[in-house]
Amino acid sequence: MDSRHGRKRLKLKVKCDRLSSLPDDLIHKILSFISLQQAIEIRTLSSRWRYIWTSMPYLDLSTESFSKLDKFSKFVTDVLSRRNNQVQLSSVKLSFRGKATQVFVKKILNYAFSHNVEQLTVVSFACKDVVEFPINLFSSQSLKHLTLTLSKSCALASTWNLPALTTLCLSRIKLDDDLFSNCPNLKNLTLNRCKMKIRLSEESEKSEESHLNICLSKLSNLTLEYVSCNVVNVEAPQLKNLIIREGYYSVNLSADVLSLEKVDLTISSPHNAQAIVDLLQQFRSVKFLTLNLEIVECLSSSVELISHQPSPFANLKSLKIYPAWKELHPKANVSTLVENYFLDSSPGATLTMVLREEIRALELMKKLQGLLNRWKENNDKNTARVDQGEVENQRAQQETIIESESVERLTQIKSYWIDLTKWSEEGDKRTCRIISILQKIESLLIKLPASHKAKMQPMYSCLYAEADTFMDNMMDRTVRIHCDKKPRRSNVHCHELATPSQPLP
Amino acid sequence: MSTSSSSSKKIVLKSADNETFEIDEIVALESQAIKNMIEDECADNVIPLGNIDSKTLSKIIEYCKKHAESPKKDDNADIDEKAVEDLKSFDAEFAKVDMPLIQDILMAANFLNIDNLIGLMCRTIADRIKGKTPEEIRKILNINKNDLLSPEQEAKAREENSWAFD
Repeated sequence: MDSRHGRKRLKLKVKCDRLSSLPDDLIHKILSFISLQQAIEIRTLSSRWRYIWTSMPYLDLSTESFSKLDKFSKFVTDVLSRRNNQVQLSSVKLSFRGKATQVFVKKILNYAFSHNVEQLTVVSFACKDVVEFPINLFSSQSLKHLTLTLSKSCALASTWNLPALTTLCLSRIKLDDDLFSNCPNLKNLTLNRCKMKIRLSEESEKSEESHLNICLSKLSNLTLEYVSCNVVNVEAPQLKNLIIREGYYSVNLSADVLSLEKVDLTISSPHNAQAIVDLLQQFRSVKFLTLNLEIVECLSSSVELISHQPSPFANLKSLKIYPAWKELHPKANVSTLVENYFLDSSPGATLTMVLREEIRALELMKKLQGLLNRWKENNDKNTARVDQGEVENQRAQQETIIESESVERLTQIKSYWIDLTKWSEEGDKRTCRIISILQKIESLLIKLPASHKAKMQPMYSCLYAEADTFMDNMMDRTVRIHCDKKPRRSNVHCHELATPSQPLP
Repeated sequence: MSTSSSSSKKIVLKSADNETFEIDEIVALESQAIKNMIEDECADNVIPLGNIDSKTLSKIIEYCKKHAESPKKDDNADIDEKAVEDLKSFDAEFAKVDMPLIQDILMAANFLNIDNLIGLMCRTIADRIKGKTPEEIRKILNINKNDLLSPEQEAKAREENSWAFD
């Protein structure tokens, strides 16, 4: 408690309370984590807090908490007019529903632009029309981070000139070929569910093959998720991390991409093994490679493509393989040739492979643990009630002998028996459910190779023991209530299952 | 940057109540302010922190130790998801302290310039006042009575407020 003195001494020194004595930027930071409405409401707190919101460099505006859009529009006008106009904006977030042509969208974005916003996030729900963001926004000299998420793919201004931009995340945007060419400092680029603008060739009116060209000299992190086009050309000599999700296009990394360290590739339904090999061959420098199991299985079914090739990965430190699908369906086993293809050139690399059975078994274990926890909690509550019922029942039986006309008591006794039956039925149901889950888990574990099984065994044994005790207790209690006699330990179902101390067959 | 703790340089911090804490340099470097002092070579053997008491300082060292041990995002491309989760749950546990201590830690973190810790403390305070009425917040934050608005001012502020909520 010696710190008390220190605190007291400090309190004497400063006039206001400790939190209010914090510098503005810290109070702004606190306010940035609560809604703008509450940040404004807080101004009745004390004189220190009265005007502090007006100089906040963060604006988070959302139509979410407004029943009508015109109310939101009025709110925006009020906020912008009352805000301290001298203070620049570091971050603006706008999420809205309804049309993007609404006045407030333009108003907010123009305000953000004129106050040199550095981080801008715009999320639009259910917009039907073409989004027309103010053009000057795409020539902002201050903008460093831009995130645009639309609900339907839309086109944007076709010429961007954002010299300060380092991070760009686009979701559901129709892209131009050379959209990024005037963003020379872009380091992080994420494209999600983006399409290329369709260009009709003049003669045939058939759409051409669409190419996405990413030529960025400073690009370090690139994420492509569900991007639809035919070819992606990447010219990025500093690229370090590449994430591709569901890329059914060919990717051409220019020869100077030598700094690539980490690749995370997910193609959940691969059908073209040759295309995968072509892609993988370009990741020579990679140190950390993550793939989905289906890719490895696809390669395993076409080993002839790689069997004659040396492993291209000389720097590999770790290879991780996870399944994209959880459904168990017969697939080609992972061939050792494929493993060799990945690991031969890097003998020190670690391999982590997670199989579908493991994921399923883990999910089931989690489910069972959840059920046990919930039931245990319920039991603690119910036990008190049933025990109470039991006492009342005994008393009622005695009393009914004396006062046979007590209808109320009879109802009580009856309801007690109903309770008791329900209780034992419930116990039966629960036991069946536990046993069925345990059996499912075991059937999964049996399918696993020994090394994978050994990893899961201790966790399963623990859970098994807990479930066993739970079922035993449940039976004990039901039987105790029924005839006040305790039978031998559960000899009914559990013997069919492996005992936790023994390893699985 | 070396991470070997056995051979690394030690830094001694001294709290306001004259308690000394010897820590690895790498732990001290979590503080941008100390880092600058070391880089400018104006740090003596012992760095006195006259405005941070020992209780707060030991909490801050606990935080810095944990964060210094965890792999940094930029250093290593292969970050274990477990390590990220682990750090998250550490942060959540770390923040489970009373409001006066949170405020002490925030002020000290601000002085020492430990960005993550400032963020964590601000978020914690925000979480505790989120959705609460001004009256409740006054209690939670222990707002000084002398600093309250006069009834007239408060009525006026409330009236001004009405635009935001009708």
